[in-house]
Parts: sequence; structure tokens; C-alpha cells
Amino acid sequence: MENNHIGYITGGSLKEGFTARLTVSPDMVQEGSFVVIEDGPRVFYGLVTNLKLCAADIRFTDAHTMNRFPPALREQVAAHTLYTEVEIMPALMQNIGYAPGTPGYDPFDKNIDPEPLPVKMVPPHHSPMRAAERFDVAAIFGSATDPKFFEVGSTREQGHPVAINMEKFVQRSSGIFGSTGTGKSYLTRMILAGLIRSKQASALVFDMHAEYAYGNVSPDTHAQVPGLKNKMPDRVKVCSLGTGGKVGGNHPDYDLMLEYSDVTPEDVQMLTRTLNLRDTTATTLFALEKSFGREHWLQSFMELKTGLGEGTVSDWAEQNNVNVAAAESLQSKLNRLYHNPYMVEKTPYNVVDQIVNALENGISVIITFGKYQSDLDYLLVANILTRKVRAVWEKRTEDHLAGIGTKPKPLVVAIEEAHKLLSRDMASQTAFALIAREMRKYSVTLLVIDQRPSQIDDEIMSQLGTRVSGWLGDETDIAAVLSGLSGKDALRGMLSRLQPKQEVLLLGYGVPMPLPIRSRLYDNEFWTQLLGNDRSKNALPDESDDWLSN
Amino acid sequence: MEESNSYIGRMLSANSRECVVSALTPQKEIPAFGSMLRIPTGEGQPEIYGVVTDVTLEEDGFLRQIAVSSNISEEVIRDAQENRNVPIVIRVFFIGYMEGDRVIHLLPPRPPVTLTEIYPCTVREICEFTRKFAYLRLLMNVNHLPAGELLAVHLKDTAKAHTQFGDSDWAQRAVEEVMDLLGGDPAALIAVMGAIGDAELV
Repeated sequence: MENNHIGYITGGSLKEGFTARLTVSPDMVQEGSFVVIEDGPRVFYGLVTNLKLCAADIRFTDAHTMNRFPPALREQVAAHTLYTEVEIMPALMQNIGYAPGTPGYDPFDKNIDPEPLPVKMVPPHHSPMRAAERFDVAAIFGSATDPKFFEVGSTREQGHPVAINMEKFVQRSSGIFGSTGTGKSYLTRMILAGLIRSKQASALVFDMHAEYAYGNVSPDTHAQVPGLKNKMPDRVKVCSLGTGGKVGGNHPDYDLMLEYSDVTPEDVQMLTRTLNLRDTTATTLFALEKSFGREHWLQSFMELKTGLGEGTVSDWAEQNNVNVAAAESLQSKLNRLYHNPYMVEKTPYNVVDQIVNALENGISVIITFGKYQSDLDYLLVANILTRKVRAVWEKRTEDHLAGIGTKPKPLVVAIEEAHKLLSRDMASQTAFALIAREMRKYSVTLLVIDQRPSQIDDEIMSQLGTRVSGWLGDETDIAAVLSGLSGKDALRGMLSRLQPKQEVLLLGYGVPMPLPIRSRLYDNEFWTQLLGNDRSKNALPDESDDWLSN
Repeated sequence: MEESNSYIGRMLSANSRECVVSALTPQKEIPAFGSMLRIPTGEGQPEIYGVVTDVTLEEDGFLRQIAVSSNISEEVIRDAQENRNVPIVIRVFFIGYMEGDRVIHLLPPRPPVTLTEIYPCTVREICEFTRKFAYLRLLMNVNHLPAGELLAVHLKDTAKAHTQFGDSDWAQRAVEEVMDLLGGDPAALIAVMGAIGDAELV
């Protein structure tokens, strides 16, 4: 065997995966290692899913027996009778032809196929296995030098760069998951930066915790970590909820105000839990829409007085066969929504048009919530804005299909705390569920960022194409991340045993095969490599080389 | 280990696997257990190689009387030990043969004829015959004594010859071969390795 071989195939099947015997020390291979099995003109790519210490006989594992031998002989006997077996989940195979200089080499071999294929064969016994080299990783995952690809991290053992195909990434909805403190926000920031840089799509980011636009202070190093607007000011617009607010001391590009007419009865139903609404709310809302119209129901209803007599809630309720107490209760609870400073009868200018215009021109928009940090603000604004933008994309696509105008640029809607908008009891009422299910044909997809994927509607989870997950401790969260994917059993252990920081598992549509990687550091080098000479003059001075290291 | 061309005895009986040799040498010069012997079978015929697996010193009626006597002089004891009436019987297990310069680690095609002269192997002959290890397979099939004891003594003896010829790793490679051959029999492997360990071979 050649020096770079680490073992050889001893058995296996397509259903249960391959087994191989290691010829190197077990500490040179770990769960999730990317391995290559060579079989003449074919190579098989797979992941190590289990390592098992084996013995030719149980007696050789007995230290007492082995200690009877002199040290040199003991070592020799141990090397001969004790070994490590690895289980491999085969992911892809490729016909690369025979190597030059070997029997069977044919420079015009018609069977050579550069595209990796699903595994439909098994390598023969004793096929040598080696750790994946840089060129193997590039052959499967693509090269980061290609503008369509973004280097998201590197293989854990050898540190070979691993890239994501951003074109595929935006074709379907995707998700970034991980428990608190696993670096989700930094990873999201890097992926969004890669997405913006690749120009494959515009991003509409709902930045609930004010992290993505102007950055924040790292909880680990207490250093100021730059945001996307700091580093890519020409490609990112910031929109802040309310008027006159500042985001981290910066003036946003737009102030976001909503009109009463923007709020639909469905928006209110979505807020059932947040506003603690009754079961009768749906009936009351139906009557309100019927009575005042879809655009004016909220303002008209909220302008009704309390008490008795003409122009009161009770008067309206009686005339429309609605329970008076239910109507009065609803009006009371809607006060929180109606009297928000960012809710007005008429906005001075149409912010949504400006946001749409920016997104259509390839400029990404980050919505920050300023002082409006409640779930009510986040759910209401994200839902209304997404619905409006989505409607524009739908119309543009329909027009394009009818021969009018151009196809709209792909749009990625990034939502944090996604389970609040996509939970099982709420999913059907939000604009996001529709995007996850159907909007691929309208070039709109979601980027779901969450720490509790198990709280997200199962159907939506199964629709997610690419999934990037950091460490998750809860079994139900792990199961949710793996829903709809093959090889779940093998991947489950891998996901639960990721390092709490910096290690993530890539899965799904946007990556050719699952792979645990060490994610890139969000540091100066990242931005230098990403932007190169394109680096903004307006960027913040860099105070630290590594904003995240402990 | 001395270079020698003088025969130590003649063959009394044989089968395809082993032979019995009558040695007339003094007790102190009889070939050691596990050492290698050479059995020439005639011009143009293979030269058979074997390993000593047993040495028997049988008594005659006179020795029995001497043994029970109360006063035995040193001369009498030495005479009985050096000028034996009943020859020493050596059992030799075949481990292969030479055809010209070719070493073949298989049982010989036919046993040597009776009264064939038997020679101890020289260091050079030992090294040439044992450069490869396939003969160990035959040696491990000796079934009238523990394989570990024979192997340990034989390997230690042979390793000395190879070390003399500059191959100090021979013993380690030989032990690897033994482990390969006994891979399917853990109990035997542990027993043999125990004996090899006691022989301080590796």
C-alpha cells in the first residue's frame, strides 16, 4: 500500500455502508472524516460514521495476557491482533479512469465521467482507503476560486477548504441551526457575505438582535465585530423600524413605517399567542373585514369608542351579530399593535417600494428593529414586509412568464428565531410558510436561522434544501435537522458530537454530500479574502485580527 | 555454532514427514533440540533438511547395573557416557529440501534411504535455507510435542546464525510469520508467543 493509505475495505453493503480496517493508529481518523476508496478506475467518497476497536480474539484485549510478553513482543503481537474497524457511509462515486502509467490506462477512455454519481456499486475487498486530499474536496465540493462558490470552512483533520455552491444554495430554502453559543450568527454573517459577494441573490434579512448590519460586541472577546454594512456599504442597505432611530450610532438608509391598512386579519391571527387572543377572534376578524373592508378594518375598528351607544364597539358588534365581549376584548388587545409608533395612517413615502427596488438591483436589505424588540414587533413587521415583497416577486415572475419584463433576481429572506414564525400552529398563517413550500418557482427562498429546529413545522423543515448545523444537544432538534434526508441514523451521532464551537455539519441540496467541517473564522482574513481589492474604504478600522477567538 | 562436515549418524527409519537417526557421537556433541540437520540423498537427488524434534538416550542392561552400584568411579561414568553401547536416537522432522540452489519448503518427494549419513547444518546452510519462512508452516505441524517449545528454540538458534550474517531483523520477521500462521488459533498463538517471549527472542 502507498504511504497515504490508511486502511482497506473488509466488507459492507450499499444498504449498511462499507467497513474498512485501519492500517494506521485509530487517533488518525475521527467520526466524520472524509475518506476516499480507490478501486482501479473508480473512486468512492464517503464519511466515517463509526470507529470500533477490534481484536482477532477477545483474549488479546486482556492486558494480563499481553503483559506476560516482553515489551517488544507485546507490541508486535498487539499490532498483529488488535486493530480498528471503521464504518463508512458511502456518499458518491466517480469514474476517473486508470491512472497514467498503470495497466488499463487509456487517455481516451469514454467511461470517464467528471461528475460524481450516487453510489450504486461496492468496492471490492482490500480496496485501499485514504483520507481525502485537497483535490478530492475540490472535485466534490467545488473550488472557492470559482465566483459561484463560497468557502465556508475546511475539513476538520487536514484543513482542506470546503466551498458551498451559492447558485444551488439560493435555489431552495435553507437553514442554519445550532444551540446558543455555537456561532450561528457569525456563520450566518459569513454566508450572507458570501451570498452578497457572489451576486447570486439579494438578501432581505430580518435582524432581530441587531447583529448583521453594523455588527456587535463579541460576547467572547468583547471586541467590536463588524457587520455587513460596515464591510459592504455599497451592496447593503439598512432599514430601521420607526423614525429617527439610530442603529449602533449609525443612521439607517430607510426608516420603516407601516400603515394600518397593511395589517390583515391573518396577521392578527398569527399573533394569537403573542396577544393572548381568544378562540372567538377569527369570527370577529371575519366580521370586521366584512364590515369595514380588507384595507380599513383595523383603523375603523380601533376608532370605535368603548361604552354604549352609536359608534361604539358594542353597537358594531350587535349590528354584526358578534359577541360584544369578544369584540371589546379584541379591540383592547389590539391597542398594543395599533398604538405602536411605527404604525401610522399614511407613510410619507413608500418604503416597501424602496426596499423592493434595492433588492431588485442586487442590493441586500437588513431590517433592524431598534428599540422595538418584542416578539409582536418582529412577527408583525417580518410577516407584513415579506408578504408585500413576495407579492412583488410573484407578480414579476408571472409577468415574465407572460413575456413582460425580466425574471426577478433571486431573493433570499433570512429570518432569525425562525420557530417563532414557522411553528406548527402558526406556519399556515405566515408569509414564510408559503415561501418555503412554493416560492422556489418565484425565485424567493428562505434562510432559516434557529436554535430550536424541532419547533419549526415539519413540512417546512422537510422543504429545506441546504442545512448547516452546529452542535445541537436536544434529540428532537437533531431529528428535525435531519428530517427528509437519507442516512439519518449515521448522521445523528455525528451531529450530536460536533465541537460546541466552530464545527458544523453541511447537509442537503447545496452540498454534494454531508460533511462535518471547521467553519471559517470571522476575522480580518475572512474579509480580506472575500473582498480583496474590492474592500470598502468605508469599512471600520480593524481593531483585532480575530474577533472571535477566546 | 561450528562449521562441520562430519556426519553425526545414519538414518534408521523414515516416512514422508520425518526420520529416525542413530547417532554415535558423544552425548555432549549430539545435535541440539530444534537445530537443523542436512540429509544428502545422493547425486542429482534433493538434499533434505530437517529439525531435531526429539533425542532419546536408551539404556542397556549394563547401564542399569552401574546405576544401582554404590561405588562408581569417574572413569566408569565417563566411559558409559562417551562410549555407549546403545546409540542415541534422534528424531528429525523434515522442513524442506534443496534442489541444486533452489530452496523448497515442502515435504521431500520421497524419504531418504536407510543408513544415509546425516550432517549438522553449517551457519551458511541455515541462513540460505531459512531466508524465507514458509518452512515454519511445516514445523508447526509437529504433533508429538508443544509447537511453542520447538519454535522458540529453533528460532532463537536460527536467529543467531542470521545475526552472524548481518540480518539482525530476521527474528522479528519470523515472529510475524508465526503470528500470521497462527492467526486463526488464538490459544496456540498465545502459547507460542509465551514460549518465544521466554526465549527472549524479540
